Amino acid sequence: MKSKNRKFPVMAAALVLSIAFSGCSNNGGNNSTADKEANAAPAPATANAEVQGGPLTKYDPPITLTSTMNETGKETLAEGDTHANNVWTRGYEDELGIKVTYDWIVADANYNDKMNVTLASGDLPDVLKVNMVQFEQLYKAGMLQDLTEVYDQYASDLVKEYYSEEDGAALKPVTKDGKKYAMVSYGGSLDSSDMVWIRKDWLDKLGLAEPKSMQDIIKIAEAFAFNDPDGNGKKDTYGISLSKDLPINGFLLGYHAYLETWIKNDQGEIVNGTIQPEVKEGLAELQRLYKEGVIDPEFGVKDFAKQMEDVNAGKAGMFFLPQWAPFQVKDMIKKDPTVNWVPYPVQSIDDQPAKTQNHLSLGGVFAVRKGYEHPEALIKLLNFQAEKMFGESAATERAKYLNGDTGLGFQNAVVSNLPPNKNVKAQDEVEQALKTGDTSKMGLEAKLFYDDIQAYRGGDLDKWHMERIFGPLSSQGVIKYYRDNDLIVMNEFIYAPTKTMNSKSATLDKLRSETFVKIIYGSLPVDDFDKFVTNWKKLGGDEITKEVNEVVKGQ
Amino acid sequence: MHFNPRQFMRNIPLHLMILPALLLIIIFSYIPMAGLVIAFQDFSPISGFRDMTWTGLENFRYLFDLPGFRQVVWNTVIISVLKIIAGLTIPVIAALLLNEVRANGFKRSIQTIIYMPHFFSWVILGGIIVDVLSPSSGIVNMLLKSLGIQPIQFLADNNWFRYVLVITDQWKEFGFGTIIYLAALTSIDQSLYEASIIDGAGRWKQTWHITLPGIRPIMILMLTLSLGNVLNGGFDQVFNLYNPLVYESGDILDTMIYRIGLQEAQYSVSTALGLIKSVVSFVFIGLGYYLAYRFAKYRIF
Repeated sequence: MKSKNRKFPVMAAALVLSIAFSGCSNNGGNNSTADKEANAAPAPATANAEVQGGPLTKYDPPITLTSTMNETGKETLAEGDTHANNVWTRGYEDELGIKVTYDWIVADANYNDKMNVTLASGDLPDVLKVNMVQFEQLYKAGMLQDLTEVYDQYASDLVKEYYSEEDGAALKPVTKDGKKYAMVSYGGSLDSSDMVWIRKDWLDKLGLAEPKSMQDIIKIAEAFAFNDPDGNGKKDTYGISLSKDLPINGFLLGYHAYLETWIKNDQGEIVNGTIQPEVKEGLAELQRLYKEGVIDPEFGVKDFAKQMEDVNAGKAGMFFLPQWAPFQVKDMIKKDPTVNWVPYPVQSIDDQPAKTQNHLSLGGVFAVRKGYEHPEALIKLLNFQAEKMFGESAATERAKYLNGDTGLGFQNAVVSNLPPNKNVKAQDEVEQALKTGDTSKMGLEAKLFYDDIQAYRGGDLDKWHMERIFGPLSSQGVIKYYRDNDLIVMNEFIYAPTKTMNSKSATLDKLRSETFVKIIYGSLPVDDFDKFVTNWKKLGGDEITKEVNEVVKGQ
Repeated sequence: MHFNPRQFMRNIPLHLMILPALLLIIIFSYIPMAGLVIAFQDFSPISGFRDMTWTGLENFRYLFDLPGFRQVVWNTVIISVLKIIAGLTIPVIAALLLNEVRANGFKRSIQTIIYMPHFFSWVILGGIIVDVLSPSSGIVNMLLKSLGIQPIQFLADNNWFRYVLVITDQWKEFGFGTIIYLAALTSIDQSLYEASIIDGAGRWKQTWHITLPGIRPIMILMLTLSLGNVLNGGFDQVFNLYNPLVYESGDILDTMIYRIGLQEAQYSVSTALGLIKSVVSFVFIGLGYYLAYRFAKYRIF
């Protein structure tokens, strides 16, 4: 005990000294930069040593910044580059004076687990690339730096422009009491739009017109099941393909039912779309169609992969998936070029227009550890990435940073944020270019899409999916139709899950999928939907609704 | 049993040799047990163990209050008990039958073939089984149809689902059990058979009085060990085969906790469930050990 007591003051002294020294070196560093700036331009004489000029001003001497990284694959890296040392890290150091090092680099699939371990260890990197749940934990533990000021001061116009889209939705989930605690990667919400995919070649064969209403959709589905669209004389096709995960949004939207979406009702209260009476109407119709044999009779035991197997085997003529669906059926076209999947907007059962329901999903949350001396460095890194890809220097340097034709190099930026909803904008450019033949005004990415579509039209069936995602008749075209005609219902709840959501949603999800699949199978009557609503409310739904209203109104 | 200092001294090198293994077990098995405290806390990985609020039995209460928890426990127990029974009989029968096969090449190839599914993952088998049992195109239902029986949706029917789980589980694993019992059979003293033949025992009598008693210790060992699995229904299998239609007969503890855990990393609740399962398994293994000793005079360890 004695020796311990004697040691303590020594240690304390050492600690004090080290703090004093680090304080000195900090001041030294800042002073010298301040001197430089004073020489270059009359810098505002401020006591705040953190002020470091504009969005892309270089640190001198260089600073260090630690973060973490997921493996992005070797096709994203130029010859000889590694995840730890590549065109991005060199760019940061040469042009920004930020030496970025990674505490660890792991496979994408393990990133989340590794981050959980890191958070638990307490040894945090300077820039924390986390998910929404981890962000919430860090915020509650008071371990995050408030970025409001450095964002306002340092963010480039380009970065600010991206974050201001869709009414500034991107940064809302990471804003607490008006303060921004993180930056995000936000791709926009438009790509989450629902749509109806129909085999146009079957439509033509059966002499049916394109759908203009929900009634048409139902008639088409029935014809696909009963009128032998594949012409083999057997009743071996069905109208609607589903899986046990119930991808029925594209159908229910025709009844103005918004599954798993928080919507505002007439009284201004936010309610969950899942328990609204419109869902019951849609389920009743699905039950009828299942009984008739229009829906795959075995969908209840099939997962998504199995469902897509059937679709690719030519068994179904209709399914409901977002804009990326062509990737799922592209092999079909390679085998039989007459197959023609075409996306249509959701259709309405009555005189009210049908709308899609969209969700905000963040690709990543970038926060700064409390106590890091250069929180503005995060903003500068984002400025840098936006500048190299979309700014003035993009014309000459973009290809270098994107690793040439692969276009995937941006994944190696320590933090990155792409312009929201860039796909629909690219579709716009592609459609114009296809009409006029003038490719001079196209963005680099749109030009790549355009070339792919030209290749498809020249006979390269491998590129068919590009035609259906970005061509004139494509999923992004459908999204453009939604956008331009104001046919989007946005999920009102864009924040981290509430307390009761965490503890009760698994139960509620089970209740929903069990009830809905059974209703469609006909083993429960449609009226059991009312029982489901009562149970849903009782088992935590009411509590969650209350919390959601509090969160949304508190913003 | 008495402590003998001289013997102990003589064995010191042996004791030292076991030390590394012991250390590993202490470090990786015993010390982490302290982590079980988070079952009684409201744990957040960021604040760590120390700053946690104690919640007593709150997490256990949460588990037991989950709607349908009883049903899920019941499903788990009934599925695993069925599996234990099947796992004890089918491999023994298969081993006895294989033991009677004289042609060595034939015996070996059968053994390899039935052992093979053991190496497939349930992810792959799940897809195959969905196809095989499909009411419209699966081979099982085509056979039934040719016998004039209406197609059955095996995977969507609560009356069938548990049996499908047990049968497919055995189809995958009985080859493995068979190998263990075949090994046990080779250890039976051949002179016993010769003596019984002289006494006029036929094949049945030999099996009943020599073979089965001969492999009884292994059977008891396997039974006792499998008792520890009473609260394990087989996550991989159920997860790849179940669907909303058969939640009421097929949802087990592990799949439920997977869905809850997946929602938002509820470490404390998962740990609480793990603790319950461990305690129950421990009790069952202890009980099995006692019964094995009491009735079969067999000590496993």
